[in-house]
Amino acid sequence: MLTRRNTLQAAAASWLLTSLPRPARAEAPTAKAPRYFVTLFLRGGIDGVLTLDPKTRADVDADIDVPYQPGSIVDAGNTQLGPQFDDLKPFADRMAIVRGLQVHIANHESGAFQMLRFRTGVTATAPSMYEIIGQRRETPLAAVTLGDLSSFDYTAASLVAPTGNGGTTSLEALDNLDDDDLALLAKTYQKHLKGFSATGLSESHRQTRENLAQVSAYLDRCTKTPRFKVDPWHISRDTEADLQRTLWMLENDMTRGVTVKIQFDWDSHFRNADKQAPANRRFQQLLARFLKELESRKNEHGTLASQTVLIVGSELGRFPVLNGNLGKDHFPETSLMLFGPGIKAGAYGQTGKRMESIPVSTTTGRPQDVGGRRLEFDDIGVTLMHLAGLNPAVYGYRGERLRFLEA
Amino acid sequence: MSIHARQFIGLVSSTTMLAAVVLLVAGTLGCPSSTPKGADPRLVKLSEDLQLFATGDALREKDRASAIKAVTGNDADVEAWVDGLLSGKMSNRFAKDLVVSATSPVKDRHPMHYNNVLKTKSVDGSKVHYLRRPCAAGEAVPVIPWWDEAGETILVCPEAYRPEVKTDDVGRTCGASMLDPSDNDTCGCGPMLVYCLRDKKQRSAFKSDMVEEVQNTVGYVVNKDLPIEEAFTMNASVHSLASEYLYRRARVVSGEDATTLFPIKGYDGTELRPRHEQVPGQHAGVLSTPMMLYASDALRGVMRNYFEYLWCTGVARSNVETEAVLALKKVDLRVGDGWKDLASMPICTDCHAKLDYGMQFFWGYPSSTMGVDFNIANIRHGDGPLYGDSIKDHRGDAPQTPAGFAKLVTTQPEFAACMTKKVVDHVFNGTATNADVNVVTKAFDETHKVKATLKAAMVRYAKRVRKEVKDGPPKAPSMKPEAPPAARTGDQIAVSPALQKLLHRHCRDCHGKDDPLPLSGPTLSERDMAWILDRVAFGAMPKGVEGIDDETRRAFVVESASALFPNEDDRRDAIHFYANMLKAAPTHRFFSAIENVRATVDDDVGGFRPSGTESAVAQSLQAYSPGLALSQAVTAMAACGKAAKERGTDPEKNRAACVEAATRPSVVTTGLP
Repeated sequence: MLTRRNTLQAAAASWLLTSLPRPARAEAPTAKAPRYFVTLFLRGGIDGVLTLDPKTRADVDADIDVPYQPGSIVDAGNTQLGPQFDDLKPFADRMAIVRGLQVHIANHESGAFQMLRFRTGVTATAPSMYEIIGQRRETPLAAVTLGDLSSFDYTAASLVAPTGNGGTTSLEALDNLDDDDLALLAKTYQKHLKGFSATGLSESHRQTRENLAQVSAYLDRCTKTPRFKVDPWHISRDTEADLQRTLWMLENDMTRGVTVKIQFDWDSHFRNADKQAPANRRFQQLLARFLKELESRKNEHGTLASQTVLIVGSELGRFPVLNGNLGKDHFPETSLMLFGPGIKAGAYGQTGKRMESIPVSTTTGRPQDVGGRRLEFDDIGVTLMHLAGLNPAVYGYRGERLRFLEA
Repeated sequence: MSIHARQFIGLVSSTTMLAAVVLLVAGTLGCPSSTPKGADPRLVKLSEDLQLFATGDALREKDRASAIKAVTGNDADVEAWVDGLLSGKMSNRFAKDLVVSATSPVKDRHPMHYNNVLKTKSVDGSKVHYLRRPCAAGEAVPVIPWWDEAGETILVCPEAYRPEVKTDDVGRTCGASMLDPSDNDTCGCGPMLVYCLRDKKQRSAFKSDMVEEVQNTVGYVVNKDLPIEEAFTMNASVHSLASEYLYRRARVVSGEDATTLFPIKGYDGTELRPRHEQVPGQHAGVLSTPMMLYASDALRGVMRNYFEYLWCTGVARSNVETEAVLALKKVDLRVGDGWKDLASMPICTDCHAKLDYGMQFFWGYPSSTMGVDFNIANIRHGDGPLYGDSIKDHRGDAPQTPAGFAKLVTTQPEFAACMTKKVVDHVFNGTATNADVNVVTKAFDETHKVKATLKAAMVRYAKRVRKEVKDGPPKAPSMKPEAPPAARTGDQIAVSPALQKLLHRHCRDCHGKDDPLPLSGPTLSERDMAWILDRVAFGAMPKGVEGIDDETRRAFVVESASALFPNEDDRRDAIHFYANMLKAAPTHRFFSAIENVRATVDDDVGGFRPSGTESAVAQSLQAYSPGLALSQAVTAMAACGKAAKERGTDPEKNRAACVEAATRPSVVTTGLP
């Protein structure tokens, strides 16, 4: 854990960070901006009807798949949970669920682009949201992406480290260095940074220096903190390692944003029930543990839960009707869970008889026939940017701010 | 001082200052011994970059002096040096990354399901093989497996054999993921156990072999200096036993006797070998290799990859509406009969006409949920259409086979533009001007050969660097609009003359007066102006493989952001963000960059290489990211440690200098000395 003494030591090197150009100029934050942002990206598409958007048979048309009895729906006070997210009931009082978000895509690759950016219609060249938010930070790193990654999860200003591919990642290699080697690396990168002129550089070279500074500060921070070690949770080896590394990074104040991509068997084009059930069961165990750890772990700024906005969900949804392989294809809507400072618990947005998003008030998040509108994925991006104290429009975020979601 | 002025000065002075920094660093560290004293560091860097561009391998110490001599000589010296670099063998992996894509399957996209691997158990003193559950030795059947060249039998439990079963009752063939033996009791391993692999080790080896088939086939075409179309159209491939096994297995599924096809002998994966065709046109270069065909579990995903590889289409920005999907009233849009509706539906047609009609050419290769063997019963007969941007963009018809598809698709202008773009991105990585692109395009159009195209790009790049060394850096583009932005009227924003000129030149061919977004008026709505800024800045517009060069892109950013944001701070932030996109200096391909780190330590140090997502990312996105910097750091540590150990030198004294030299950003970046 990062101690006060360590923090003071780290401050000696932090001139590197504070002297960096800060291109982002935020408007006055509406509230104290959260220190950390974390996304758990459930790649493939969780089935809403089983998890975040449960329905009774009477709620939907006859051909819509609702493979459970009404009694299986979990009444969790603020909201209702599907039978496959029943373990999350204890966290419902802190949970916001936003249903029926229009993502406007039906393929995973575009969906991955969108999940990293919280915007629709984006390309691979656009920076991730956490890279943008991370321009304004006190942590060494702006943004980190972990998990079962593909090329679609790469962004050029993050520390992107895939896990579970059989090889050793840079982060794992760093874990294995002895103290002397780590200190040597940290010292070397500080030297490189000092030799890299801070002024008079082109935009591209300035970003090169910024990224060099991130790595230099990160290595320096690593020399002052306990090494990362995995404590077996016995749920899912690679993913729990990613989640624990996320906790370790937050605990030691190493990054402003983390995205963890989790790729269980959610892309259930065939045998939807057989694939979703174990994936959801495993994930809800992981999430419950992660939430508990956020609450119990702390650093000098408070508990991690009090400082971290957590967003959980998939890049797309599942078509509500079973196909010929008893599976469900893609659907251009999804639901998200959000937790953390600035987030108001509750259930918002609604879907109709064919699981389609229906218009809601952007003030209350409740159905509104006249003057309402369907919720857009971009609305989440705009709301998060506001929460971080940035002007969303400057960075291309053009949705609507969801005030109902703000505490 | 405003940031505009600072940026302007910064851009102009950057190269000069960097050169000074590098001279300082080089003086501290000491350059390699074979670097001539007084050589300009930008030219030293050019010599290293050219080597990496040409071969993916680092410049060796023995070649350093000659390389520097060449790049400090005259134009003919440079051209001769580039010729020399390209005359050697390009590694197959490097050729594949350059020509097809760096993307490789990250997940286990193996044609052979992991549960179609035999398990063994000792029972009553005998080793029995099974899929679901072991049996008594007495129940087991002796079978000669397809892989056994000596013709010796093994004992197989009856549930794992079932030689008569080829399909289930709805036509899925054994090996389909839907017939996974762990939860489906239909199939055994079939005659000679052709639907199964011997063990996990064989499965793992087969995956490597199948990846190598793609690499080695592309490498063959490039190194034999054949037209690059051959890599996608020819019947033969450089394949080993793994792929040959799958090619022959499909013939068993189609009714041939397994004993006439197995065992397989003489396929070591080093030679170009013809592939048997069950129907004419079944094979099309790397497009009909198992690794490519099963990179996705459905054909639409495969086609998306193919159009990315062949036409550089990228991941499409779609605008899918829930109502539109529900209105199709189909539940089998992925592998079922909904494709024709998708292909012609407004908005969907932009992608699905190309993808879904394209799929028909490969219909003999089923979704892995249905089987992983070419199925002659499924093929489409007769000619089929190929579409470009929509159902209205008919490009021609060809026999509905992979070869028919490949021959038609490689004769379209997008193919030439895409191959050119790959070479341009490889060398210039976002810094090419229109003139640079024109030179490389001409070389491709004249030869259709990779090495000739690459030579044109490298010579052009060298010329640019040498000119900058001689004359100083070019004037940087202005980050200020040509004229102050005009006032708004309500939601309408005046389009500046400079922006009008840009729109006229680059956009109005598509966005004319009849387009839903006409770009010819004197004003635009805030929404449309924001759309232009976003789409052009991030490269989604103008459409087309060629796009626009970086200088023009920046001009669009400056003009549209200036119009959009009246507040000076917002304007400054938006211009900064959109102009640079938080992208640092361009770098070499991941494997080349890491190789260069190791070569900085020692030519032959080899050893550790971290796994990184960067290895699968398009070259145009590669930059000095925090992730790459950290990969460089740990590679350097490992290489320096290994070198110290092997050389027996004083690790304490030399290691710091070694690590410092190997972790300099310039070791992995391009251009930055």
